[in-house]
Amino acid sequence: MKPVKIVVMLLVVVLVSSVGVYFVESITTPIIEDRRAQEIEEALQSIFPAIDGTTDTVTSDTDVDFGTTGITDVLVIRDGDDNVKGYVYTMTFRGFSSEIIYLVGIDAAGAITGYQTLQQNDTAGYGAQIADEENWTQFTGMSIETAGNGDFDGLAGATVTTNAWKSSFETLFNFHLDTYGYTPMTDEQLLLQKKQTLVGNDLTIESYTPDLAPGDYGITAVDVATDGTDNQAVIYTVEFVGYNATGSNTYLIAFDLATNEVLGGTALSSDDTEGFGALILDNANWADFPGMSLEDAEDGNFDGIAGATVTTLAWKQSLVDVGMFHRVEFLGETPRTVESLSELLFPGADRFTNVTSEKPFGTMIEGVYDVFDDLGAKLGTVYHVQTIGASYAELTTIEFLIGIDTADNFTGFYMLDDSETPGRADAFYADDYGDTIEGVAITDDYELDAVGGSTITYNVITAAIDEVVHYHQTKYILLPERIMDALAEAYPGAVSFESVYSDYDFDATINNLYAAKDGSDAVIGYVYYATATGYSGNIIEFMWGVDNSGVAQQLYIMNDTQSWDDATYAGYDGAFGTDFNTSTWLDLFEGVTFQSILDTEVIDAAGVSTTTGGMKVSLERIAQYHADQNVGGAS
Amino acid sequence: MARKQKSLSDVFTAGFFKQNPVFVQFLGMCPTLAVTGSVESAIGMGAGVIFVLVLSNLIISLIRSAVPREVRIPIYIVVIASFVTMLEMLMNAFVPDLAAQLGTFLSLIVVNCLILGRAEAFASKNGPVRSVLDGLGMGIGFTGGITLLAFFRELLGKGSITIWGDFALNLIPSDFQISILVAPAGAFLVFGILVSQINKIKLRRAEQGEVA
Repeated sequence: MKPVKIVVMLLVVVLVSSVGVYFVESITTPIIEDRRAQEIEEALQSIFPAIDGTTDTVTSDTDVDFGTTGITDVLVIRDGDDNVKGYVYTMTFRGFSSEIIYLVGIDAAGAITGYQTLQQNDTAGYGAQIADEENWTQFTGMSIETAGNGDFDGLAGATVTTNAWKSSFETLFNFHLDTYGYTPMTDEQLLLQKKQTLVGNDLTIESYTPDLAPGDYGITAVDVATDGTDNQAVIYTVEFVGYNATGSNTYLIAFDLATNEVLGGTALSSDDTEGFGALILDNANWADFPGMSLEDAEDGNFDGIAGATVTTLAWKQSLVDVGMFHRVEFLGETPRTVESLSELLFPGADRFTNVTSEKPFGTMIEGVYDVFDDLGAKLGTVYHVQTIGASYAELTTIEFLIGIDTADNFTGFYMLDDSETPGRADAFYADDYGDTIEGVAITDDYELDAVGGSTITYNVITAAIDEVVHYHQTKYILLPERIMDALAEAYPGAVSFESVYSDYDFDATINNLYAAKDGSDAVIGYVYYATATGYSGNIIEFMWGVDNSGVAQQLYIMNDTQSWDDATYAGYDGAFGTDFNTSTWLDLFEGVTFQSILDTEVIDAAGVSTTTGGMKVSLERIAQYHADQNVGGAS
Repeated sequence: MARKQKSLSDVFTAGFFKQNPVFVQFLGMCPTLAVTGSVESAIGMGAGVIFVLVLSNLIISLIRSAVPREVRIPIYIVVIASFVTMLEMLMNAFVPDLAAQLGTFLSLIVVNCLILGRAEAFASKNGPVRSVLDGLGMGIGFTGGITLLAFFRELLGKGSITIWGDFALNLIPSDFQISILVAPAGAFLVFGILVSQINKIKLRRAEQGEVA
């Protein structure tokens, strides 16, 4: 009897248990299926953003055998004309410690449209990173072939799960290729798709021809997104040079034309260092952009790339240019050219002539503009100054305009741009900032308002202004007649002179270098306009000509700061005359070759050796410069 | 002489400390080590074990006299496996996040020796009321034990305690967290330290008892 009892008892227990399990299963299965379907439906919009809820149809492909691929479902998305728009795969694979389920959308051209991890239970901090959205964004726009080759970022510290994940993608790619195949998009189509992603699929993207030259702003292409009637958004393709000076970075940035907010941005290419500047390609670095105001984009109020300061700074600077272009082209603002802004410093000006190339080099001088009224009379000069900013954190620049009229008075100060700490230097931008120096003689002390909390910036600006004043006084031709007279004295045979200093290196003692020309405009020699330090530290200003064969012409002293009248007390015997400016000592530097001056030391005059010694140093330096720089090929 | 039967309250509270399944009996070590990375999953696992333990104890005590001794283990396993299957289905349906968090360890409740152990050692020899109380008490003791373990692992390893996303206790800055404690190896470390501390207390009490 006992064996029968055993069998019966086992049977009864199994049967009752089965009924219990069946009962619970009948209750829970519909709930689980409903929830899974809902999850997939919710995910579908983000996995396949191009899906159109009204015209597209989504069907599960039941005709294919998934085998051991780990694929549990493929949804085929078709448009209203029954053309396949794409596929959404549900994949499972075994991670380090759990079954992982993910969804991936692939469009008809084989580009991944979105990725989402639906389920995982891997180790927190390791495999569980697969659930972090920041690890998903890399897939959008990536070719399924690239993903299939495992060319995507894995999970830090989770080798097993990463390998399984990549292997799963490889299986998926092979299955997709074998089962559905795809025609890869051309580069143009891919670019268009990226632009479309920024502005949404409801708008049509068209090329736009701007009035401004976009190239001046680092913009390589401008597109607008239209709803058929109005332009709703603009997309800029921008190029800038980052850390790697031999390459460049390109990116797209789209602005809403109604709100001027950024719709989004994405990098297209980067020649910068892998893992640093090239991280601009990581869409996570563009996460701050959607919804950002134009001002914030211009001010660089976004995180940038950690560890890539130079590239980040260049990126932010390029956005300043994009903002400037956008303001002029689409908001109708006046172009912020130096010429247009210079009007603020010279309200009565008729024209500004860029004379930078004619002027000697100045370390901070970006541009020199002569200002004329409508009758052609010169009103003054505008200096465009750029200097290093004061931020401790990164390399920043400060750029401003400062005007000086013909009477050597300041006409104003205008802050053009700075990349100083946001919020700190704003006061420098105020329209009335710099008004206090208007009308002040450049030789007088001036007062600029200090800005609280920006002492260093203030100091940098005032130091730069002082530099401009020095440049204006010493390097810039204040009195053309005086210069012309001196030039004629130094090179009597020349008919005209032209500054050629910008062709050669800058030297602190040489104010300018002129080519002396004859009546047929042929260069017959050169004139150095330079300074020497004389007695009591007084500056001796002089012109010294040299012909094409290296023979010194006249040495003409332009100012009268060295008196030899009373030099007898120091033992001067008056051998060279009593007036330095006309002394015969100067004749020793005329009619001889520059080379001979370098080869044979000219004697000092006893009793006036400070003056003659200072002159000698300066003259020898010029002779050396002439040889070193091979001025006019005359060495 | 027959042993004196324990009172109902003794049956119920035995699992709390005296015969705590985790720290005294060392039963159910697999989930003890595997799901104690977070307090949330420890409580979830504990709730699952209570569910299975109470119901399997109840059913086994009800059928104990009808079960032939030779096949009692397969029958207990069938009963336990059925409840685990039901639990899995119910959790997947109603608390899917927790089910996903517990993963395969949910299924492994079937072979949790705590459950089979109580079925064999208690439910098969006691009436339904006592068996239910035993299951409940042991389950609570087990839950308390693994929750304590999880508390230290999560707190020291992640710096915070998060329960169902709503209640979060952030205590330790990231620089001072010991992330190995939430990794599998950390379970052994924390478990070993806790057991040593409990044994220390037990030893001290025993010595005090001897002195007294």
